[in-house]
Amino acid sequence: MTSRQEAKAVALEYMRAAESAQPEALTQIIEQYSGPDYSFRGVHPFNELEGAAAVAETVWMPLRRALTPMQRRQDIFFAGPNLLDNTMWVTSMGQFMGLFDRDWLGIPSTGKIAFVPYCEFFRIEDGRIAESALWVDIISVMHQAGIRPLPMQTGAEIVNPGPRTSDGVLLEPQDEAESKKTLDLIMQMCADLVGDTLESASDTLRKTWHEDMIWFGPAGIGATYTIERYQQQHQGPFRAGLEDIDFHGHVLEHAEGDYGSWFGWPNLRMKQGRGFLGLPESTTPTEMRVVDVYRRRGDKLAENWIFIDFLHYKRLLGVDVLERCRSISQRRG
Amino acid sequence: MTERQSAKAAALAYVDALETADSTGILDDVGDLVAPSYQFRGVHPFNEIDNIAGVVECVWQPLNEALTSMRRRQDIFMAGPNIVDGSLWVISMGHFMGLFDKDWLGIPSTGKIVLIPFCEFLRIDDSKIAESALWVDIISVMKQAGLTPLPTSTGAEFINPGPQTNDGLLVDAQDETETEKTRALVDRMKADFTATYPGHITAATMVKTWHDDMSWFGPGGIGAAYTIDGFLNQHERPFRDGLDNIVFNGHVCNIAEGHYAGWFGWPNLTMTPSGGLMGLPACDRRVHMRVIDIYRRDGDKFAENWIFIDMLHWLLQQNVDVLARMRTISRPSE
Repeated sequence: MTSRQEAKAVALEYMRAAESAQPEALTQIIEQYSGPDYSFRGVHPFNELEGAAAVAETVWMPLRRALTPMQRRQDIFFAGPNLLDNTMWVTSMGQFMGLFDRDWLGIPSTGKIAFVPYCEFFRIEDGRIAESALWVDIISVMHQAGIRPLPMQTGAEIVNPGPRTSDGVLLEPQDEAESKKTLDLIMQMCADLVGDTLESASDTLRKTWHEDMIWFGPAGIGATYTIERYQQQHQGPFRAGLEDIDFHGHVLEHAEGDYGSWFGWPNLRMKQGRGFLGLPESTTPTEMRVVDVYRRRGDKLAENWIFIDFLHYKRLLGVDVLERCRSISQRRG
Repeated sequence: MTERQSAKAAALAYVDALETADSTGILDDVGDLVAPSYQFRGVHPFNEIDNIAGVVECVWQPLNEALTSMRRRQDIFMAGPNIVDGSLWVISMGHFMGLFDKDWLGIPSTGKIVLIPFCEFLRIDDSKIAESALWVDIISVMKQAGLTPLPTSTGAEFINPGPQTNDGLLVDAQDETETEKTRALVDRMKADFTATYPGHITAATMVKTWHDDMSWFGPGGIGAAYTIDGFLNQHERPFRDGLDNIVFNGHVCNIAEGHYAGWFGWPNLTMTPSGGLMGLPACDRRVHMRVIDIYRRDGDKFAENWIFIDMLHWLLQQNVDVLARMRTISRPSE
């Protein structure tokens, strides 16, 4: 099996090669680093893609042409075996930064810096990327371009920073005992959450979270700080609004050192119910594709970065956010 | 003095009394100008109130206290017989302006000027205010305070101006021939529009009663559109595409004078949101829409239209309590 360090080396080599390549060369770069059956999952409008050419043309070329030049600013980077099937995965989280010089997905360019919050996962097999998954916070980019696709947020509207400790890029091998502690802790927290039908009371939260925890949520919800304000600004509205929430499991669960992460496809199915995000009530079923990245401090969790595919969530409720954005801003592409 | 002119005099006395009263003396100053059977209708959260003391307490006093030196800046002022039932009404439209020094309806104050778009309808009976209806654009005030209660508008977001011609204050008596022309145009346009439900209004229908360079000064949440094409793209299509089974319920008041006309309903329209209007998802409920339209005729067609929609009421029926949500967001520790 691929070791953590081998997996990180493959991912880093691919990132370096992709970053220094011209957009036109990206199909070739991805081909070079990916396996024969390379498959991709990404937030809407990317969804599920097969093969290097489709991923390069649908995802990376438009992004690279919009953000000139573009750099990957990693805040978190680690590798570890997937608890679910023991395959080896890498998590890379941070921001894609560039000058937003050309429209992207119909979002009007600004000529200024844009930060695209992202989280990317790579499954490494035989020295190649066998599979990957990408969340980018498109709502955040729309906000940065002055467009308001959703009602005002319950949490703070900021571009989320990386870990307070600035120690999230795990290039070196980590103590396996620490990695296990982190994985055990996030799985305990997950069990608490799911066992409680996502209705964790304060006492339950305090078993696995520090009092001054930070929940760096996605644009549309925003960031919250402390257990009390997390409950008020995210958990409460989530619980009061959504109905029939069904946990659908994860694709990946892994950890290294003080860091851990997971994603699902989708993690949760639900109904908009009484109403969430300041949007009307609805009995239409919808779903959430979610990424969670965690930092452990001692015996509890200190920080959490969250990505949710809200364009997919809203599309299932009958609103094509990108099409409406194009229509309002009179842009194509 | 004609009926219209005496109605205007009664309305102006009421407007003056409201403006000069201090916040604790409003009822004393205005009470005598209002009939004992006075009835009030207003946008959410005011809704229906059946006595002037209640209206002063719920509407005027909080507004007067929130807006230091509040002034009514009228852009349109007119009177006329209601074609629905022959009663006599006055319309006053414009902005309430003041320094936004104290929170209003939970909207955090800014210490700066705020312009609250308003339209008030007053039924005059025996020189008293017998009935009134008030729309204020609360979404616009939230935006002026830096809040974004709704997704980006399809139209332009700004504070709508008054008429291009600056002749909307019909303090003097108007030529009845002009009034009749406006009356006839309103009736034709209304018949054209209501006949199109549930379909779309086409440009071919529009040009029969509207100038090509018409202005549609819409409410916060939709915004303003300019030219027939702009109106069709930025309001009419999103509106008709995003709403199913629209039913027109008729108006409470429908008057015209000179080049101006206006109406309101309670509610004018009932519909099922099918997804997309104002960037919002579909909702399974039948919901009501309370709307005001004010029109300016130029020659044989309409040139300008000011629209007020009770968005908070419309959203509340879909279980979005915009004011409650805002209060939770802007003052979480309370």
